[in-house]
Amino acid sequence: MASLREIRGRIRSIQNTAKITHAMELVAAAKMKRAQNLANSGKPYSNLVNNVIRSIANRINADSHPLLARTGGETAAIILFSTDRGLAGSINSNLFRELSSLVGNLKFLTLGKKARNFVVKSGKNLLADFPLSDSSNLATVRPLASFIIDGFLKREFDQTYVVYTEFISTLKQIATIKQLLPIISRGILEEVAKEAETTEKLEPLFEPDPDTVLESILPQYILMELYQILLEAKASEHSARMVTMKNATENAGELVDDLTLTYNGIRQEVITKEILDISTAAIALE
Amino acid sequence: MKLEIVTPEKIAYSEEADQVTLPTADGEITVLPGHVSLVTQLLPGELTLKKGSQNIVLASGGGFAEITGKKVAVATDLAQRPEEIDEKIAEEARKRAEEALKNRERLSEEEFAITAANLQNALAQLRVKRRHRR
Repeated sequence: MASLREIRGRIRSIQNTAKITHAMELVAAAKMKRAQNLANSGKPYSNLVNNVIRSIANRINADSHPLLARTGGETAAIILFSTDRGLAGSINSNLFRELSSLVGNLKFLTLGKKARNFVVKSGKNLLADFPLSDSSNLATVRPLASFIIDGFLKREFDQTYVVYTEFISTLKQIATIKQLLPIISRGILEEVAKEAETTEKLEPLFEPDPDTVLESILPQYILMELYQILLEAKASEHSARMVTMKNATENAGELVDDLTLTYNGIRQEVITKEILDISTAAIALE
Repeated sequence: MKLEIVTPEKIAYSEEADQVTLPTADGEITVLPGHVSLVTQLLPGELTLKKGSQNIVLASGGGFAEITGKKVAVATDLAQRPEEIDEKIAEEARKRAEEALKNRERLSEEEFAITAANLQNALAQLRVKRRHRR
């Protein structure tokens, strides 16, 4: 049986760990709130841009801009949004598991140390690694956006997928794969075909002309998509960390309770033994 | 018709409106209900909308608008009412951007484009603020 001193030491160390996890929980909670607000306030814009692109796709030729559609080609660029730090539950491992469903010639672009290390360790083709800062703003994704648009136009890859953790709620985040390029994915085409049966097909006017408009809208769309994804990935990370740390703190509390019980049991036993010893000695002296 | 003005930060307007005037790449256009379908590029400038007897002016940034008969959707990176604009901040932004543009050779093409856009936005803000001072 463990000695009293050992148990006391263990209780103390668990209490210290609990203090740390509790502090991390509070920090994550504060960051989570900010990140969630940002992610939620960005949603309407990204939805609107999405809808506009969709309704344009419905009515123009897919080959009117090189970013819109491309057939064939095996090479895909995968943008992997992970976290810089760990202790956020299974968020990164879920993300990496999701990758197994992607096949073909894959090139990786990573954000976050965890993704970079994973890609390097598993011997995949790492194209570029982008820094992830705590203050996420448009400047974080701008280089990434121009990198993939460039690469796509130069035919270094034929599709681009984003793998990230979609933020649903504080308790629920889902690892998701989303096609970014070409913009008109098979999914959209099918949906559009369905919608087209019900809505009348109107050729929209473009001002000044389709090329200029598409040239300015499409890169902006890619940028905003990436930005929204970044915000969601951040919100997911902080939510996951908050929940994980909350659980850790609670588990530590349970452990301490358990150990305290054992500790008191042993202490009681020791006291009983001592009393027995003393009283036996007293009787022996009489 | 339904009018929706959205920026990356917020929904600036989402209500019925009687007419809206947009600063497009080809000059200002005014959209009334039943307008033909149109997708147009927006430049930083002044966006005006009418709802009943109410007139609302917004400083708007670059972006685009999709117009269908029943609905106008505006996606822009700036949409502020005159009372929301802080003249000092806008003025500083303008100065900073102008300063940066003087050293054009030091900027990459992309930085130049971003700075120029910032300058345009600041100018639009100042213009709207000064014209509609209460």
